[in-house]
Amino acid sequence: MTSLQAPYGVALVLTHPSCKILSMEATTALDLLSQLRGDRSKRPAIDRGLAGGLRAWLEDELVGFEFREPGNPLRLSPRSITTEGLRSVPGPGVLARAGLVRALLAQRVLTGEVTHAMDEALAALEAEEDTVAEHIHNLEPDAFAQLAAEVTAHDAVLARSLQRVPGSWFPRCNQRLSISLKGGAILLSAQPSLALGPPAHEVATVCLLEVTTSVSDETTARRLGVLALLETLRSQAAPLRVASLSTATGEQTLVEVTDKLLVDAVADVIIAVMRSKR
Amino acid sequence: MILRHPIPTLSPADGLEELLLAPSRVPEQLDLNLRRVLANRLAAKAPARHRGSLRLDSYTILNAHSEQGVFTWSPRRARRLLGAAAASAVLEGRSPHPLAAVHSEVDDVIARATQEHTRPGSLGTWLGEAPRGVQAAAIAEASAWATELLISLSPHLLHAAPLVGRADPVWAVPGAPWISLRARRDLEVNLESNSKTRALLCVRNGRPNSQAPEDLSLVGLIDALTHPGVPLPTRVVGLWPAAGRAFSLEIDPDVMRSAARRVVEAIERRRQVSAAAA
Repeated sequence: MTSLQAPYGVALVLTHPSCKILSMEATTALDLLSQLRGDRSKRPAIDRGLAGGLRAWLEDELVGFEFREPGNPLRLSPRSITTEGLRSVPGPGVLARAGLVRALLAQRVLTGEVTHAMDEALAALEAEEDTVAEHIHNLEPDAFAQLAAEVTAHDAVLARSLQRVPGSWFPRCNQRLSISLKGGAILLSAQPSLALGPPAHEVATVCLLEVTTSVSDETTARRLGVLALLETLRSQAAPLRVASLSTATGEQTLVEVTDKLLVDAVADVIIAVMRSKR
Repeated sequence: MILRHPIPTLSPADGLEELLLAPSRVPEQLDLNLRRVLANRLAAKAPARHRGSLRLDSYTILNAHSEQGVFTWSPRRARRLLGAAAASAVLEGRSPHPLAAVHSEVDDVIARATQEHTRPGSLGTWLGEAPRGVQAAAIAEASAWATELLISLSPHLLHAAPLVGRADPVWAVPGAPWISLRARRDLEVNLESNSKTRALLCVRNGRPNSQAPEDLSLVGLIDALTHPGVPLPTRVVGLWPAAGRAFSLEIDPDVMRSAARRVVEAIERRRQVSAAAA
């Protein structure tokens, strides 16, 4: 493989006042992915009937829900389900930072090396002709330098918290989950940053990690619950654990997937759908 | 049109196995008359040769109103090619897991482009010149694709020696060879060696929509056109990993005729678009 020469020559402003994460304490030295996988001998047996039951429950509770417009389903994500009053589309600055960090996560866990965080992440976005890349190129030099500094700091958290993942863990980066309910009138979608583990046969094996550039809050665990619910509906088996890593603070949230977590997530989905009708 | 869905009590992998390996019906050949009439109609309705070559697959046939832009590589556009080669390497025991196989495939493709001086714009040339971040994104996309495919296959299905990573069948229209049809199918499994019956698997993004059965029927038709003298594929199975959905379209002469009409309509629309643009 070829190496990349930094094409932008950005001077990283590591002491920029807006870059709050630089002053944070180092995260725990325990590797997050090892915690996610846990002890292989203590994995719970899967309940093959659970996913069907959860789906039936959702379909029953949402009876009477109709398409707002034909071909225009109600689209919900774990974040929009658990955050009342959330703006449907975050600003371009937030999307740019999230897209860059998402690219860096894939590079870190699959190749193990990042040399020039901003340059390499931006190249990955440009290759997909992402509109976010266009937004970044239109930034003023100061704003660009500030974003580059932030991205480098977020990448430092990734480097501290995550290791290169062995291929035998079957890593899938940015896997899309897309679950339709009520004959397609409701679309639940998510894109966990990283999925690990083969499909469950007898015991739960799949682990999901969500990397967020925002700070963790009281909705994080519920959001992870909804993510676990979507994976359960998709694969017909509940995942083992779900986790969130905030690259803004280094905070890690690890959640064991239990029946109660999934039941609470079902309730969250129902409430979010009802809220959308108001 | 006969659609078969997985048995709900089976795991997704076992359900897919049942869909693919169900006993085949009496094998049927593609009607030679249909093949001849289709070739004649396509040749008569094809856009003029000087408008350039036209390569259609089931997506472009079903979305014939959309313009075909200039092709450029991106991590997402490279994922199927790299991912299928990687999945094949794992199935043949040349690589221990999809991630290692994708790394190896990327290195091989770049080396071939360097040593054999492949044409500009080839996958190897693009990857070789791509920044490290783009290479990492391509590895992430391809390894996720290959992993999704491989973990969808049950052990019994793996013992049936499925064929993955073979070039898509392409049928150049006799009388208008600048028009070609391509069957985007990702796995082929032989059902009975004596009767040469086969089942095809197509991995698709997102979730199945109302056009999904037609998509599968077009794959079946184009595959049959490129295999004269061999029975029609018994069935074409669609797999949507993001939605956890799969279903099978059983191929029969009616399905083939309907798919052939769809191809003719698409070529007609292309000619109209082409004429309007001129």
